[in-house]
Amino acid sequence: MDFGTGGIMIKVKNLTKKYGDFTAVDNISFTVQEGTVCVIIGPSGCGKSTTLKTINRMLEPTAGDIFIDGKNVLDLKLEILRRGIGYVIQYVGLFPHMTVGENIAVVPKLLDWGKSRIGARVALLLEMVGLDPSAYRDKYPNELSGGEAQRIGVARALAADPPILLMDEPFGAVDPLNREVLQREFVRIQRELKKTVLFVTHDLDEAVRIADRIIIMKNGTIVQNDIPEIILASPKNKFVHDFVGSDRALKRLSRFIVSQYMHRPVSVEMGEKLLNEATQLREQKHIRYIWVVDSGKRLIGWLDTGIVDKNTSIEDAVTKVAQGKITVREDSTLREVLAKMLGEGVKVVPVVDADRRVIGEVSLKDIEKITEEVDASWKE
Amino acid sequence: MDRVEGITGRNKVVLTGIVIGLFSCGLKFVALKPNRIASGTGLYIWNAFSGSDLLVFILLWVAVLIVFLKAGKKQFVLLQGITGNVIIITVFLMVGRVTRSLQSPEMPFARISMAFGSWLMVLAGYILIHASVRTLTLKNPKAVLLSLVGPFAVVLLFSTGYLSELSIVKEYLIRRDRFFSEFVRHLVLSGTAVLLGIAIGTPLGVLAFRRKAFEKPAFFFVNTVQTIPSLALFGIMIAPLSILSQRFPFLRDLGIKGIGSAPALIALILYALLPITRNTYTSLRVIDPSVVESARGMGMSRLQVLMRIEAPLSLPIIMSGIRISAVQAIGNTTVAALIGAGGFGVFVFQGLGQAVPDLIMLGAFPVILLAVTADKLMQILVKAMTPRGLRYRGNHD
Repeated sequence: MDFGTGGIMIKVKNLTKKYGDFTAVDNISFTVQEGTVCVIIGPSGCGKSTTLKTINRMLEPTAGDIFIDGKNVLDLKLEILRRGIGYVIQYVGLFPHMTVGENIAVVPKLLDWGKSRIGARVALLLEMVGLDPSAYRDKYPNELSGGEAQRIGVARALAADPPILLMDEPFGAVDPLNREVLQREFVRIQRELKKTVLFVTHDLDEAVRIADRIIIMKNGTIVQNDIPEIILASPKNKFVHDFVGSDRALKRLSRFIVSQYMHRPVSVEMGEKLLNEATQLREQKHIRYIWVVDSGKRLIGWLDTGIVDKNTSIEDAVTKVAQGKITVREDSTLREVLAKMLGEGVKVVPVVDADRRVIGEVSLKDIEKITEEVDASWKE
Repeated sequence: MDRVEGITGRNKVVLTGIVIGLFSCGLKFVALKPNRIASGTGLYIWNAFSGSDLLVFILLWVAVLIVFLKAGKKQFVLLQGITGNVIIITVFLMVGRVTRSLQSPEMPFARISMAFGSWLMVLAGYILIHASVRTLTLKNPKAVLLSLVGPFAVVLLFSTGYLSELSIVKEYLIRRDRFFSEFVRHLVLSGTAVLLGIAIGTPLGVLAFRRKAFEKPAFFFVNTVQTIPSLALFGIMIAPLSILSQRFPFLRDLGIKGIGSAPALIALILYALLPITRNTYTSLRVIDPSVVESARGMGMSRLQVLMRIEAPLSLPIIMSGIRISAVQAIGNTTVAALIGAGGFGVFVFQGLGQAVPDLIMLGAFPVILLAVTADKLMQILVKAMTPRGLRYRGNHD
C-alpha cells in the first residue's frame, strides 16, 4: 500500500468508447502512478471493464489517448504492447490443453526466452503464488480448484515480469473465503514487486483492502477519484455515499495499520514483585490495566490493577490469555483490532511480534478518534 | 467399486457370448442349394458333420465353459480372447470341410453357403475377443494381437482357396476383376466426398460460428439435406444435372451428366456436410471465450491464437465429425450404384435383381468392413489428437 516513487505509468486522456449510440465510457481522464494499485469500481455497466480493456487495446477507444510510460498505446504494435502488460481476467482462461508450467511459460516463449530461464521463472512464480512447483508444474487446468487456477492466472500474467498488470475482476469467481486469502496474497506480492496495477472490481471491501487509489465510475464517467481513506471519509455525492454504504466507517478501518497507532505498552514481569508494581502503577500513574509478561517479554496475560489488594494472590489477579485470542500484530488493520475488542469484550489489545513479545497496545479510544474523522453528516 | 463392477459387467458380456454360441449350435449351420438362385435346405451341425468332426465342436464349447467359470482372473482374460479366435477360425475351417464333403457330381451347380448358425457362432467368438480386449485395454500389445489373429487367419483361409467351394467365394471368383475395380471406385467416391466435405464443411462451420447471420441458414441447409433419403437425393440430382450437361456440352466432356459419378459425388458431399459443419461449429463454440481472450490479451497474434489455442482444442471434435461423415459416406456410396456411380453397391443391386443372396453379401460385406475399419482408424486418430488436459480421467474408451 505504499505510494510509488516513480512518475505516471498509465495516463488516460479524454477516453471515450461508444457502441453505436451507446456511450460506454464518456470522456474520462485519470492517471496511475508507477508502482501503485488503482482500483476502478462501480455498478455493472458503469464502463469500468471497458476502460480497462482499452489500456491493452482489447477494445479500441472511440476517442481519446492512452499513454503507457509516456508512449501512446495506439502507436505500439498490438502484440508488443500486450506482451508487456500482464492481463488477468475473472474466468482465468487457462489453456486447458497445456500444463500449468506451459501456461505460465506462454509469454516468455513468445518473447523467445531460453529454456532454462523459462524453467527457473516458472518455478519462482509458482512459489510466489504459494504453490509447490514440483507438485503443480505438470498438472492440467482441469485438475485445479478455482482458487488454484486463479493463482496460476496471476503467475501467468507476471511471467515475463511486465511493469503493468491489468486485472479484470480477477477474484470475482472465487468463493468468499478463498477470495480473502487471494487478496491478502495479492497485497503481499504487490508489496514485493511494486507493479503498476489497474484493477477492476465491484466489491468495495476488496477495493479498500488492496487499493492505493480508488476510482468510482457511474454511467461511463468518473464520479470520484481519490485515496480510499478520503473516499470513505467524505464521499463526494449521494451516489458515492450510497455506494460505499453505511458501514463505510467500519470499512475505512481496514485502511489503518496497527503499527501507526500503537502505543508503548505498560507491562510487568511475572514474579513476586508483580502485585507491588501493579499497586504502584495504579497509585502513581492511575493505570488500570497492565500486561503481564515472562522474563522474555512474552505475553502471559493481563491484570486489572483495580482489584489488587494485599489479599489477592497472583493466580487470582492475572487473567491468562490464550495464544492469539486478543493479541494483534503490527500489520493487522484496525478493523481486525475492533473485531477482536468486540469479540473478547476488551477495550485495549496488546500488539505482539512473531515470538509473542509485547511490543505495543491499541485502545478503543484510538479507533474512536479515527472514526470521528469520517464526515458522517453528508447531506444531499 | 468401479473395478468390481467392471469385472461383473464383463462377465455378463462373456456370458452373452457363450449363450449366443451355444444357441448357434442348434441352428442350421450351412445351406445347400441345387443352384445359385434356388432356395436351399439348411443343414444342422449333426447333419453336416460326422462323429469325429462333431467332437471338435463339443470340445470347443467345453473349453469355453471352463474359461467362463474362471473368467475374471488375469490369465483367463487372455485365454478368453484366444478361445474367441479359435472359435472363429474353427467355424471357417469346418465350413471349408463341409463344402467339400457335400459336393457331388450329381449336382454340378450346387451351392453351399454359411447359414445363420455359423454366422452366429462367428459373432459369439467375436464377443469373447471383444470382452478380453476391453479388459486388457488397447495399449496392451497382446490385445492388438488377439484382435488381429482371427481376421487374419480367415483372410488366409479365403486366399489359399480352402473356401473356394463356398457360394460367396464362387460369386467372387466369377467377378474377381470387377470386384477390385468396384472396390477402388467405392473408396475413391467416398474418399473424395469426405475430402470435399471437409473442404466445404469446415469453412462453413467456422463461418456459421463467426457470423451470426450465417448460422441459421447454414444449418437449415445441411440439416435439410440430411433428412432427404439417400435414394431420393440421388434421384433428384439426375434431372438438373442432365439439363445442365445438355445446355453446356463442355460439362459433359468433364464427365458431368445426369447419371454416373458426378451426381453421386455431389449427393455424397452434401451428406458429408452436416457432421463436419456441425462439429466444426460446436468445437469453436465449446472453447471458453476467456481462453481466447486471455490468449489475445497475452499478446498472441491471430494466427498464433488459431494455431496454438483454437486448433488444438477444436481439432479432435472436428475429427469426430469427419469420422461420422466417413462412415456415412462409405455406406451411402453403396446406394450410389443405382445411378451408375459404381462401387460395391453394384453387387448388392445385381444380387437383388437376380435374387442371389450370396451376391448381395459379396457387395455388403466389404462395405461393412470398410466402414468399421474407417471408424476404428479415425477413432485412434481422434484419441491421438486429443490433448491430455482435455481427456477425462478414468475414461477407457
